[in-house]
Amino acid sequence: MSGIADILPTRAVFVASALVAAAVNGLLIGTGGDLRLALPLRFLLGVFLAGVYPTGMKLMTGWFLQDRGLAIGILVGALTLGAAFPHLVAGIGLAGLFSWPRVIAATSLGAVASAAIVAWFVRDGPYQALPTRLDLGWALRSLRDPALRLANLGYFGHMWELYAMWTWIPAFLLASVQASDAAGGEAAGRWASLWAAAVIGAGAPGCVAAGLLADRLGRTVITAAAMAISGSCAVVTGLLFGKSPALVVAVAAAWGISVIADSAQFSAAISELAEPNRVGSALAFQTAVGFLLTAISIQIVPAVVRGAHWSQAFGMLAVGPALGAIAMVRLRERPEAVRLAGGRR
Amino acid sequence: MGSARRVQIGRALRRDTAMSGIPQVAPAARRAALGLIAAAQIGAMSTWFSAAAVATSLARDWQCPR
Repeated sequence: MSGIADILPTRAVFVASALVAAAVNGLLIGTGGDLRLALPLRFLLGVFLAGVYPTGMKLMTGWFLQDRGLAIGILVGALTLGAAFPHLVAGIGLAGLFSWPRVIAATSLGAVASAAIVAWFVRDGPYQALPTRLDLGWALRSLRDPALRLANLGYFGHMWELYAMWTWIPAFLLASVQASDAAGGEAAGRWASLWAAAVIGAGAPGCVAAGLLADRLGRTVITAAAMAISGSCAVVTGLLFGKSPALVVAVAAAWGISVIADSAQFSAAISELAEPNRVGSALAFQTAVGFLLTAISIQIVPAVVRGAHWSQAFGMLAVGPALGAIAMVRLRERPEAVRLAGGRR
Repeated sequence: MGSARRVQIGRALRRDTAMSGIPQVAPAARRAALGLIAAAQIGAMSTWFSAAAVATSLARDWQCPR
């Protein structure tokens, strides 16, 4: 999707991707539990959502020159609530009540509605660059640009931590509450799901607040600060395993806020540093590598927990934001950083 | 580069942006675009989140190992 995002009209890429994603998602219903069909379908869904997520951010950058950090922050905040929602459903005991084919069908209809919204109601913003010629090598060549490279490194460090945290924090909270003897059995599972929903969902207002602050104080400051906080929270959360649930959840919530707060600011930074007619490619490349990294860290966490402990597993996640924060501090010192947040770096 | 120089460049860039004739967009139009694009994103991305929401019943119906 990296090259396509800039050679075809942005809205057309979004609409086509959303429609194919809806179809691929709906086909899951007909697989009859055959994982040989279901897993490739989920893979294809991921491929076509790559035409939705970074493309939506590109559409947004076409409307916002100022307050771009806040705009993308609101977008990422909304998606954060979407990530927290399934845990809330499980926590209040509704997960088993839904017929899964109906839920899948409803979300496919949602994707079709999304395509219709973009096709009929969304227009290209005045700051959007026109489509350009295909240049598949641009994304890799962009890494020679020191400012783009540093902004991408910051994002990669952030992504090393983000989805691994979102994936494993429910299991951590469950294991921790069981180890603390505060709750057991089904009640522990319900509480862990509710806490996970709160911890992940707390990131939504964090995205909006970080967007506001980054547009006023600078993207490099906010991203470096958020990564310093989230990396510290990762280490402390792991060390608190089995302690009082209130304490564990409080620190995990701080982690939940800081782990996603800066996410949108990397996208905003890339959109400000890349050539205007390559913003789609730049965002798609950043997102693709970031998701590849997170797939690795998600797999490593349970292996480390089995071989050692949660504290080592979460400590391993803290390496990403630590390196990312260094990259953003170095980016701040570069002359190209004046292009960020209207000169606020 | 010294911090005073950085501040100077930043101020100059903001002044240039304000004077360069870049099209201005009415706040209402920007808010509408933000709302529509965000709604479209959530609608399409719900196909991804839905798998986690139905994981329990999916595992039961497909008899997946727990």
